Amino acid sequence: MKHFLGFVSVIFLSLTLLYLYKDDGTGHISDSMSLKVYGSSSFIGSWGPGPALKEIFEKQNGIKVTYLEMADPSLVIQKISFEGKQAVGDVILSIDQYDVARISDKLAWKIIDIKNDLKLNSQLSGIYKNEYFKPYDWSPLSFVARNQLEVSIEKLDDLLKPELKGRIALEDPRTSSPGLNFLSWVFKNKSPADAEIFLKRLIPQLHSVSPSWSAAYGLFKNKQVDIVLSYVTSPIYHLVEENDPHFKSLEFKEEHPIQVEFAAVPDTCQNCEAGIKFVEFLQTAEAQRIIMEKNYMFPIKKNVQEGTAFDGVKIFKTIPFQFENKDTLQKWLNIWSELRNNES
Amino acid sequence: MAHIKNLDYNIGTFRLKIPDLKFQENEINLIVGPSGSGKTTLFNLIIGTIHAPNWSLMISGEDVAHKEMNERYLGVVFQNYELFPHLTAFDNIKLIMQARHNYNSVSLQKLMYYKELLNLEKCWNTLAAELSGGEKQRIALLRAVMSKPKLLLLDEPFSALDENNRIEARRIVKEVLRDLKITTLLITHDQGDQSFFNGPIVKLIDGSLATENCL
Amino acid sequence: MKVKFVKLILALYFISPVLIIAYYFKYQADESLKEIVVAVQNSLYHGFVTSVLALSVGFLVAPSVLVFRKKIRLILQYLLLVPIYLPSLFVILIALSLFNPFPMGNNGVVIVLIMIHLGYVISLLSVQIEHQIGSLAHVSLIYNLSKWNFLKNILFPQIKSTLAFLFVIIFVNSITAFTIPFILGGGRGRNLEILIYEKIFVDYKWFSAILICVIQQISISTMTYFFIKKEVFKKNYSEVTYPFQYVFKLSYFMLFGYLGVFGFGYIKLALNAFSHKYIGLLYEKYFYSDIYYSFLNSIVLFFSNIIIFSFLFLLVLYLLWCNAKTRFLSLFMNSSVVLVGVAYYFLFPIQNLFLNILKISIIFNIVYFVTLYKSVLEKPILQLKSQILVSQIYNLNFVYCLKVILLPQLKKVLFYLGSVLFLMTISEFAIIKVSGANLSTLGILMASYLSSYRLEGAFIISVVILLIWLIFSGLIGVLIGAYKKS
Repeated sequence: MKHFLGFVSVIFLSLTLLYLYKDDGTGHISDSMSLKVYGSSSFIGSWGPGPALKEIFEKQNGIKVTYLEMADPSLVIQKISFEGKQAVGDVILSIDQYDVARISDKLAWKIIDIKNDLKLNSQLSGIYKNEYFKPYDWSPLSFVARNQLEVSIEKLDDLLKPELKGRIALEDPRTSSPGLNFLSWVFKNKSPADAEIFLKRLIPQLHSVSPSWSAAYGLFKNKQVDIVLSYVTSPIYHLVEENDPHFKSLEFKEEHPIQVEFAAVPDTCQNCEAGIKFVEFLQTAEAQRIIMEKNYMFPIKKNVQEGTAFDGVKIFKTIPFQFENKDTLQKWLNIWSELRNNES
Repeated sequence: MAHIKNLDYNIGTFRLKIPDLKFQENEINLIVGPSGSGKTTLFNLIIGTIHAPNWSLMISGEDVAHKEMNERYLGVVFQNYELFPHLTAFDNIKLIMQARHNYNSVSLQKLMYYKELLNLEKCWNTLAAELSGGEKQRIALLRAVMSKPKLLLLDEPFSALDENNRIEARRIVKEVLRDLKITTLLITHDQGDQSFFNGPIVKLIDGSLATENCL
Repeated sequence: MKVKFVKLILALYFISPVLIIAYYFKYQADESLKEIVVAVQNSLYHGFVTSVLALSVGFLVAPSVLVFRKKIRLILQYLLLVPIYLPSLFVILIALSLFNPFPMGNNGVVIVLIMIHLGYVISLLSVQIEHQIGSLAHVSLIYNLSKWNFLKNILFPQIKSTLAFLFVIIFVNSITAFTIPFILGGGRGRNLEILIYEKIFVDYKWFSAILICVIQQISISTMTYFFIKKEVFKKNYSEVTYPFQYVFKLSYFMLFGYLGVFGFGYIKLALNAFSHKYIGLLYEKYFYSDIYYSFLNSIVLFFSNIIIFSFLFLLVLYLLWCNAKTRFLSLFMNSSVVLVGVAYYFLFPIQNLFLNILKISIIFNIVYFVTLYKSVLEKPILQLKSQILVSQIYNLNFVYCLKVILLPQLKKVLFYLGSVLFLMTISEFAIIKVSGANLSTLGILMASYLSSYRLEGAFIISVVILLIWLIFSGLIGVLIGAYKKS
């Protein structure tokens, strides 16, 4: 027993020492040569755009990039606000337009004056209106289905068809941006009274309201549901990665909502210059191509998608992008919560 | 009468072989032998917790060797008594009497008689877990005899008792069994038990019957 | 004085998350009573229905395990424990693949909770029956007690306290479940744990989260404090197998059906994940380095968890040495993962690797220590109480008694606990995510795949996790002789 414990202790100590003192070849790096970037797990994970972007940026600028995974932008922003000058984090990624509306006022941000000529689509011109948050990808939202779906769905009211009862997966607007985007889709295409009636009739139709996009999409992939609210670009993933052409995004008569992801540099940044450089880098053609191909979202820079699988994707008619008002969002969420509470 | 024929049981390197053995009817038959002689194995075979091929165990004219435990109509007093600890002394007996369809006014009368005889009034409504060793032994015996057994087995029923209690317990057992006339097998390695009961003895040595058996 | 000090340390440790959040956030009185009532209703529904059904079925099925020979019995008892220690996501995916359409909502949540807990009930009950019934079953059979008579008058009264204990464990586990009602609630199965999550992540009402956490903790503490009594069961163990006459034939089908459902469901999903469409993942250059580093991280985290657990365990043992009551620990069972994780997220800086690992281990033990201690260690230790007394009579000190008398006798139990901790650690992701710890373990890797399109990748990682667990448990068990007959 004694020998075994000794053996285990040696292994443990060795592992710990190896682990804590592993040399990744960059030697001692001062703060000005390092950059801390917060991002979601899908962005910074090995299959996401993060690693490739890091490699290129480090080569081009000689600045070491360290990714920090974040469960939720709100937590990160709250933590940075507590830590003040001691805060770690030079760039925050994966912020969508609703995060900007709801939580961006909790921190001060650096102005990012990017001279990139993005040649944006006209429906995205609204994103110029913010000097702190810079976009790096976008996608319209719609419902995704398999090709063999027998029900015709061309407008929002078609979701109320009896043959779709129990076959629709939606995300919860309170915990998921696609879900909140769905609310905006409804409220921007209907009058407030009609929107409320529509939602009231829709809720019993749903199979479920999942807390996140991945949970809802998982149900769809498991064939528990036949249609799911997702990104118009989702079928491209199946086509490219799984060689499966049997998925489609449904085009609605109403203008589709847009989801945009932003990057920003908090005022408490340690290496602000590098942070701004990184954000600028995200909008270069090289970075945009990587983001497009790994994130499966449209690039923010025009012409990047030419000659790729994304080129063939029809761009649906979309609601012109604008940053929502916090109170408007809260009003929509209150209506939704009330409807859900009454349902339970 | 109980009669064993053609018993040949192997377990590991041990072999219990009894070609023919008759127990005296309505008597207390003693099964003796040193440790490892096969007493417990024989006990388990008779009860039915283990099974041997091709042997017969005749009890009251019926071969029960290949019958299940519950179909053999035995009464058993284990070395550690195995009373149901959460039931009172009376409930331990009552439950078994009901299971054996022997719970009626006549049996109850008999039960009350033995309750007095065995001096069990004080502990009658006490939980079995709280009884003393001597009380447990008497309750276990009474439970066994009130189950209307065709054959009664006592597995070292006095080993857990001190000397004084043991003497008293032997006396009670002898008196009750003589009264009820049940064929009984008493497994023991105690010389005192052998001397006191002075009945037919089956001696086992290394899994076989010793030549000096008194049956 | 020393006893009081140790109790204070333990109490402060377990309530520290509430103190941290209270320090950072001010109270704002704007609770919606309606949502709390709905959440409480759902929690009680989940807890009560799951406990009653799991126990009823478990009680009838448990004896069927005992009919088998010892080696097979042991294997079955171990296999039956796998579902409760599997990550919830696995069980959810298995359930979704088996029931199509799956009933989302409260009933769906209960189905999966029963699936998770039933094996645990059967396994634990079979062990208790084995130890508490002993030869009583044979005595009953000798005297021709009917099946129902035996179950009602002998078996049930003997294991009543175990049933009560299991009821509380399952109830508490069910009402504090997060992932299952979160995903399967369909938006309608919101319990208190989810309400806490929403208060933090949706409404940004931190203090409200504390209040709800306190409500939840008071209910749990009340239940556990009054219903989990310290019971030292008498070992009445017998080598004889349980008589099959007292086993319902249907329970064999249910036992193997249950194991089959998990086995089949899991294999089906794993095979799908390894099918030609997704097998390309295995050729991705990042896949193996991801697994390698995640595995290393998981091992380091495991040792860290063991160290903190051992420290807490030593404190509890010291209380037992001083003959102090440890019932107060029941007040701290199953703390809210969300609240504890968030509290320590704010307390610890994000960059320091060592502190990250320490943080996760602290949170892990706040959430799981009491449950693990009560369900695995408490009874075996209390059985050794008389030996502690003898040690004290013969003037042995605490450390010597621990080293020479207690630990050698607890080897198998400690190995079992270690094995469980290992699986829980390497598959842990909820605590790491919520606490913002920035440490990639195998569990985090699996969750990352889940949060993208790569659901099948998550399954492949889950197979890796199970294989690593089996190999480690097997190797270490053989090395320390845990599988030898005692």
